[in-house]
Amino acid sequence: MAKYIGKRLLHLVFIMIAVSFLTFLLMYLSPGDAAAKKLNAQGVAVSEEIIEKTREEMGLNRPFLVQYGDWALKALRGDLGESYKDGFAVAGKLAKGLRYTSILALTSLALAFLVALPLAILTALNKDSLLDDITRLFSFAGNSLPNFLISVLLMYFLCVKAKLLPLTANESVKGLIMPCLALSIPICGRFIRQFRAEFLEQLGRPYVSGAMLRGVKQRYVLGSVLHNASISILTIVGLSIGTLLGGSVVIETIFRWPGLGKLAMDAITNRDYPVIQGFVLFTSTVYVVINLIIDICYSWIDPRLRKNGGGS
Amino acid sequence: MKKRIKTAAHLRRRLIVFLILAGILVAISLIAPLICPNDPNETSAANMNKAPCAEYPFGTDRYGRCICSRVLMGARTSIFSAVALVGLTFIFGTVLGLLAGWYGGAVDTIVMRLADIMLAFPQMVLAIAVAGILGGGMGNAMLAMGITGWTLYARLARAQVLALKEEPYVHAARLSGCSAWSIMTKTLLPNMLGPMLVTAATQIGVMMIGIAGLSFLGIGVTEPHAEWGSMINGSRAYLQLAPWAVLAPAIATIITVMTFNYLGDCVRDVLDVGVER
Repeated sequence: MAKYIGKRLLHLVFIMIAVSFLTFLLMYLSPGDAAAKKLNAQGVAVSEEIIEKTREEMGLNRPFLVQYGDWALKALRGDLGESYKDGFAVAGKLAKGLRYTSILALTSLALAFLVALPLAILTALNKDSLLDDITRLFSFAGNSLPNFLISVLLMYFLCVKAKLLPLTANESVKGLIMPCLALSIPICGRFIRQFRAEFLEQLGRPYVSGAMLRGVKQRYVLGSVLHNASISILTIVGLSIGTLLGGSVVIETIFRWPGLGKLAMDAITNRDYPVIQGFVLFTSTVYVVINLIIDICYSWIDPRLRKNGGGS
Repeated sequence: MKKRIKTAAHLRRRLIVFLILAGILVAISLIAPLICPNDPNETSAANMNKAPCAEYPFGTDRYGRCICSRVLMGARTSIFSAVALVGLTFIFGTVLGLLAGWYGGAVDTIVMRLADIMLAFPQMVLAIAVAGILGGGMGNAMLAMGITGWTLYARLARAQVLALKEEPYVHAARLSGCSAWSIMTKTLLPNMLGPMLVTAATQIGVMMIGIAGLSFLGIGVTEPHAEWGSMINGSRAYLQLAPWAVLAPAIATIITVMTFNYLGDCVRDVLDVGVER
């Protein structure tokens, strides 16, 4: 187990070096001169002299690899540079945004999961019933609708037509309802579909019919089914993390929720490159680390995976 | 047994229905300039935010442009860009996966590590960053989505090749002196295409949603080019005043994405290869 985790951590280090390199390269290759961009973002009148001076200050005259090394070492210490726009530390901005994004993402994930799991069990047990048909339609629609579309439709029907909720999210619980719904509906749709498929697969296994024939009570059989399905469920939930992180950019921008996604979109509008850079590096790190934790959980759930020392 | 055959025929019928529906959508997108009731880019201060009427079937937007014409032209953008993107990433990923699986060793390591690295970024996060930095435009939006999109096909193709490599007929082809190129194109490719095509079919809807999302954020296809995502974003502020300006492109998006998603599902059911996702 320890060896496996060690191996995965080593892999993580390699991936993070590559990710940080690509993130840096992306900004390096971005059109235009970084010094000019910084001055433009601050609204300073640009002349050749000032640009040259700023380039020197920012260390842009050094070779590419030196610049990368310097940036990466600073990033490792939690220093992601300063925003071009207002000069505040990028790391601090990200930390502030992270709080809001995790509130939004976690409530959405919990909502999607709590709705999807019982529905998936019920529909798998009553295959082709009316409930199954309705649920399938809902999950298919949820899966096919882009989240920005769901947001706008929710705004139209709940805010404009029914006047139930405010149009923009303030940071209260009431303000959380709309972005949370918009973020969780597509994920919920996918969850129901995939959970149901997994339960059906488990219910068709011989151990289930064996237990039923022996007269084991249904709830005990369901317990085993849930336990055996938990690895797949974990995988499905893990895969949705990327959707959540990407989706939160769109949702936060629409509802003005002050999280990481809105920070990133504002940075893109303002051409505030250090913030974009920090956002990409930070989100990828979160994503990679969560995936690693999930992989380690596999061997915790299924002891057989511990022996041959590998997740899926 | 009888029931099974019936369901297979049923599935095939459903596939044909959705193929026809998708065909109609593609046809509409191809002849869009001919059936537009008005010029999609003509603005008119006198006709701003007009409700649907005979002259403007879906009303007009905030610049007085005909929404019906813009929705029709938008079909072109959405369908063309999604299909082209899936096609390009499919070819690129399949070729890389095929080479990686067949030659193994250093080629395999490089391709798969590259895929691992790309997969370390959440797809939409990287797409938003790339599109945001490169600025708007359909080409850039497609590049932003494709930069991670190919890994799906590369991994799948490689896994298929690794499984097929040990089949007797592949050994036979090799022993009879076929070149690597001929084995790859004539023996391996036809045998792995089924599951690969299923994945590609289900990805059309995903890519459509992705590109529309980028355009909605203002970093994909940009004005004055008609695109449903950017139309919805542009008219969003006028939701109370002119809801049709949002609802028309929204309904178009829903119909199109659902049709292509359902088509992908049908293809999967008919070929019956258990590829999830």
